[in-house]
Amino acid sequence: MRKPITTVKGPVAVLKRDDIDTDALFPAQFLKKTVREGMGLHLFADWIASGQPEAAFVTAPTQTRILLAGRNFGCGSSREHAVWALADYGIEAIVALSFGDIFRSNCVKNGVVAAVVTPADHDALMALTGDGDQLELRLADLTLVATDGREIGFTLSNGHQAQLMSGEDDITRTLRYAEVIAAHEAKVAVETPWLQRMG
Amino acid sequence: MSTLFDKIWQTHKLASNDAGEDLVYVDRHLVHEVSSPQAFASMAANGRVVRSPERHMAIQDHNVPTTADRNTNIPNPESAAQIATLRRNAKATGMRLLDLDDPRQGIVHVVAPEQGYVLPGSTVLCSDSHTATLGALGALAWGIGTSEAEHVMSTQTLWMRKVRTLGLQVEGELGRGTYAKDLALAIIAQIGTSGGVGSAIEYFGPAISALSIEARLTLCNMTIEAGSRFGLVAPDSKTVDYLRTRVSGQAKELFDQAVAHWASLKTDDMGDFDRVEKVDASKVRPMVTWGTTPADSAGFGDQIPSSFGAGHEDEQARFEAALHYMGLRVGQTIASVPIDVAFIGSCTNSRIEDLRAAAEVVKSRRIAASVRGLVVPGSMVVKRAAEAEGLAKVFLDAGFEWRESGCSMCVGMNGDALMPGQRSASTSNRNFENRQGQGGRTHLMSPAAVAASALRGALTDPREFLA
Repeated sequence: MRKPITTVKGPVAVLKRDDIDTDALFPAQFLKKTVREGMGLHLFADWIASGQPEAAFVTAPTQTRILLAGRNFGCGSSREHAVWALADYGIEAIVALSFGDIFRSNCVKNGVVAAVVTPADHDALMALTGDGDQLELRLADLTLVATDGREIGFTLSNGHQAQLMSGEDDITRTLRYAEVIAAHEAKVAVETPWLQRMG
Repeated sequence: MSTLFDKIWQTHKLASNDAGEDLVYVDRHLVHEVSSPQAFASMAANGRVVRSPERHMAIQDHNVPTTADRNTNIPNPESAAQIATLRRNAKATGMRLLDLDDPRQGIVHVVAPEQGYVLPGSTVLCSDSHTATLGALGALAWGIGTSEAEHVMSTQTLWMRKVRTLGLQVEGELGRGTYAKDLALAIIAQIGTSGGVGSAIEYFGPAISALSIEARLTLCNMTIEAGSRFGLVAPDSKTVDYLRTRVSGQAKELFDQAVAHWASLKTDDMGDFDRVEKVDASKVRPMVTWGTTPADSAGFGDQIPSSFGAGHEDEQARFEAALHYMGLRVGQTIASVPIDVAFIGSCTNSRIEDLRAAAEVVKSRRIAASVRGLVVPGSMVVKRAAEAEGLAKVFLDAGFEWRESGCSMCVGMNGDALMPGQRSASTSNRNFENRQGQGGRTHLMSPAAVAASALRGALTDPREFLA
């Protein structure tokens, strides 16, 4: 059971660049770990080393809670380590124009809010927001409060709102469908038996 | 009337929830050593078991050395620990494992089709974004995260919102020296790195029918680079012929019955797609990337453009950062940029046809003295086939290293990596910053183009070496 989330509030870091991929968020050399913990140490490791401005928040004195990113954030590799690293560092929400699909699913599994805003609202937010400014995201009405108090709607993937707000473990939820799953397997055994076993 | 995607989805959908998600049954799940340890650990901690081990297969690929002595020598202790962890987890859960010394070992997305594990009309998952590769056989195959893998192992299902469908109609035919990789790069350039987000892409049309299964695997592999988790091609006689000699067990015994069943696996009408994009294959040239996303591509004879996309401020910032990282300048001609490393491998382009295409270019020639050339077959089966055909000798005589199979320099985890500042011509799928090694600069292209570039020691159009 994760902690239910209703509101995320805190300092933001603005990442101007589009297409920030999960290789950048979590370089492959750290994928050799076999545990989830402590991944925040490697967040943006290569970009910090090369002085990329988008990674500056990681080593800044302020604890950033929210990222304001561009288009296609978290694209590329499916590595969930990218989300573990963000969450471990302390990121609770990411606001972007769009996300990589797998990354977005990984976010909800780890209690990170992946909020999408419209291009017009995104332009306004980018113009309005600077590093360290406070943003607030309310999950109940999917509303973001900008630095000037303006309220902007955002969207989550269907299902993510309820999942984040309930904090329920989805395996527990699914195990309630055991009979339905078994019935499907019985049907496969009759209708498409070649699918029963791999190899 | 519905699409191929809808048909497979429908036969695997077990339930729906209020949030619009469907509970989808998972026929096959593939596991590798890098993305799985945390899933197994969490299951053990919660007292959960792998529900149906016969539907899973574990393969060591990302971290494995490609050196001949790898069964006794894994220099990196963390890699060795991860490989040992998968061995232990497979044993504890009753999951089969293609281990380092297994004659079928290789990259998961090369091995799975090769061994007949992937069947039309099935759902296939793996904690790896390039799982879309396997859609080339008319399966719904997609990449998931580690938590989702834990869900799949525990329940044999996944909650997922059904995506929209994008029909990618490819007319015409690919010209000489132009391959599925070039088509993939051209499509990504056309629809963009997020053009496929939220959609499943079905490739169809005469140019797709003309592609071999291996070429379709290459094309579907790159689907994720356009942002889509699903790439698929409807099964046809080529699919059936490919599978006939590879399937085993019930799929072999009931093969004719299965083939009859697969006849319905096609999109009924083009109008069933939510959206259709058209590409003319005859206009596609040999492609090469110059930037740091797979959409940053051009022909070899082209010059680096002076702006990118619609010239939006953020896009322009990314474009300039990409050129800076790649050490290139506006107006520079792409062909003739010197390279340090030529890499032929990865789940995109390491199958026997890829090696044949590269060997055709390098045959009886030598790679430039300044270039390190690396050929990493996608599986040990491919490796043995290439040795039997004499391709290995062609590469060795040309000055390439000839390696054991694995992901190798595509992801740079196993010791095969670029040094800072080194530039590669690579058949892999991602030219992201630091992807092939910290500070490494990657140019993506087809195997023939990598071969041509290795010979010249600079980015080179493969047609210069093809009659």
